[in-house]
Amino acid sequence: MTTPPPDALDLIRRRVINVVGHELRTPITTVRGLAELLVDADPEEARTVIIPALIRNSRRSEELLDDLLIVSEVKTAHPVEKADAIDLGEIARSVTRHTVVRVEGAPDGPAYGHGDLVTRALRHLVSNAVKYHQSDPWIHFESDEDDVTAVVVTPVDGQIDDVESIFELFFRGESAVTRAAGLGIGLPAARSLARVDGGDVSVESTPTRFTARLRLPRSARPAQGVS
Amino acid sequence: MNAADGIEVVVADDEADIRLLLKLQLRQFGISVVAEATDGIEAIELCEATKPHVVILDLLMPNMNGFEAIPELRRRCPNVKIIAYSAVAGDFVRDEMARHDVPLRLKNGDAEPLVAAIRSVVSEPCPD
Repeated sequence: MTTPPPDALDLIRRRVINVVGHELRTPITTVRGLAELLVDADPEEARTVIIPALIRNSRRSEELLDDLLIVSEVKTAHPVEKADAIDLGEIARSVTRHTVVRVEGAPDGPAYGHGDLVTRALRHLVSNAVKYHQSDPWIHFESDEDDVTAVVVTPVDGQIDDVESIFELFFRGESAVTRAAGLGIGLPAARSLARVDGGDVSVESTPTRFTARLRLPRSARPAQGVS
Repeated sequence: MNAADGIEVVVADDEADIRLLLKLQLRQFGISVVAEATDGIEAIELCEATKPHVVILDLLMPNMNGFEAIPELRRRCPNVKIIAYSAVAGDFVRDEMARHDVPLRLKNGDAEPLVAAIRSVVSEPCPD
């Protein structure tokens, strides 16, 4: 691989920091603001509203950090535990609970991966579906001899040209990242998380549907594209 | 209006916990969040329905983002003051908000700069 010229490296560096800053700002802002509110909060409101939100956003910061490391192909964020057989249908049901996304059917057998990474990957796809749906999204399953796939289908209004570019977040300028909501870290992170387990995420866009496929192997497979 | 008490705002942000934070923070300053929107389309509908003094508008939202919502809000709700509340504020965002003459506040845990901006825009005269 050739090294980009210094000016291009500087541009990439600034874009990475812009994306990282944007992604982390929401949970960090929320944690700081809610922590300050705790000082004078009504105890019942603190217990039922503020503390759960603090925990939720602390956890989100932690996951974002891990996602950023994984999407940047930094192996230190990979789990040390071994992958195992996982039920993709059960994970789909857990991440869609309390959302408009319905789960149709079940996979015809277990997939192989790290349950926490696969959960995070599918949560990113579901979160995307919740934000952009025009009518209720759904998940169904496909399988073949080698792979089990969760297919997240989102009815939308409008086709995305050059749909593969949504995985290239670090190479977009501020105006593109800012204007195109949803071009945050979610989809690139989902792909990187799946690749840790030898799977992948692919997307298709038509004028009425956005389809994301989370594919996982049925048995152990080396990670892809990770340094 | 020169007091914070009685000020009503609509908060438009696709992040539920940012909406929660703003509701709790602004309440401490006597400012009521009368409606919450998750995108620009809802923001416009809720501003038409509730006629708040101010809409606090995230810029990065699905369906209709803040940049698209600003001219539509100006057209359909001319008396509702707009404050952009953004997690990003590089040159592009600053230039766009300056072009629209919309005050911009950066999302952070400190409510006071936002409250000051709300009080400031509410003290300005409305078009009609």
